[in-house]
Amino acid sequence: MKPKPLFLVVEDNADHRFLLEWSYQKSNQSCNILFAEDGLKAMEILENSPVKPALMLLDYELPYLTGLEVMSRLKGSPQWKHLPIVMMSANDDPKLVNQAYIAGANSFLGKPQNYDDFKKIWSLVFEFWSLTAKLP
Amino acid sequence: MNNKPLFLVVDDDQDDRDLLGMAYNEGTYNCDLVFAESGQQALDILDKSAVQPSLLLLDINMPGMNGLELLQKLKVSERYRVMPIVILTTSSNSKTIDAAYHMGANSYLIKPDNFNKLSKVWDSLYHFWTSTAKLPISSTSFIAS
Repeated sequence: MKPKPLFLVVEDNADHRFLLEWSYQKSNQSCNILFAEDGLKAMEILENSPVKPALMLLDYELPYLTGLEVMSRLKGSPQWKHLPIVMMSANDDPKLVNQAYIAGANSFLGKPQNYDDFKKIWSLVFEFWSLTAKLP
Repeated sequence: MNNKPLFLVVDDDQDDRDLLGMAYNEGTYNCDLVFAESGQQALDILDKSAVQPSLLLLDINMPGMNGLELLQKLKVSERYRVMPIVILTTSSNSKTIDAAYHMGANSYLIKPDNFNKLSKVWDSLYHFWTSTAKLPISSTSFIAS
């Protein structure tokens, strides 16, 4: 049986990590998820983890390295350029959305504002990326 | 003003274009579809059309300019690099998948071998890109300058 793809979620907000974990538990769990609290920890995981993530869900606003900085490093690296990155932010200002796509984001999500939307959106994200799309 | 997102489907195979059109016509999808039969025709549409696509759905194996060549061309173009490009192909070769992501494909989908499965892929694609993801502003409803 094919192993489930690993999604690395880079999110500094503990409440948002909790909601994402909760949404994941309510979903059909077609992927595995791993959390990193900031961009530096995400880079460490990428370097050291024996199981490489198939997709990164990356918060826009992060301490130490911003989401755009993490993305620039990865998209500029021959080793990680192919890794799909879905950027997410509570701020869906069209200029910010465009900036993310220009920097190489594979997709962009506006962070949901309530539990029900969280569950619905994450279920669609997990379904599209782990069941419909082919990942590297 | 028509604010519906426009999807440009680039596929040389008439049957595949027809099947996708049928999947689109089967449900209520708040988007428009335009078809191009080759990479060159897609470039002509992009250059001449007043309304720019929100998303490009791109086959790989095509005569003349293949899908990966068109992908590469668009992703280095100042004007079009922001436009999401989703590969839709029968090729499930892992090297091709990696190469497409490496060149900047936003996502990669396998073209199923029957209509019911294709309808499901189309439905998932439509719902993710139109109601879950935020599309870039320059490609949602603008009139090209």
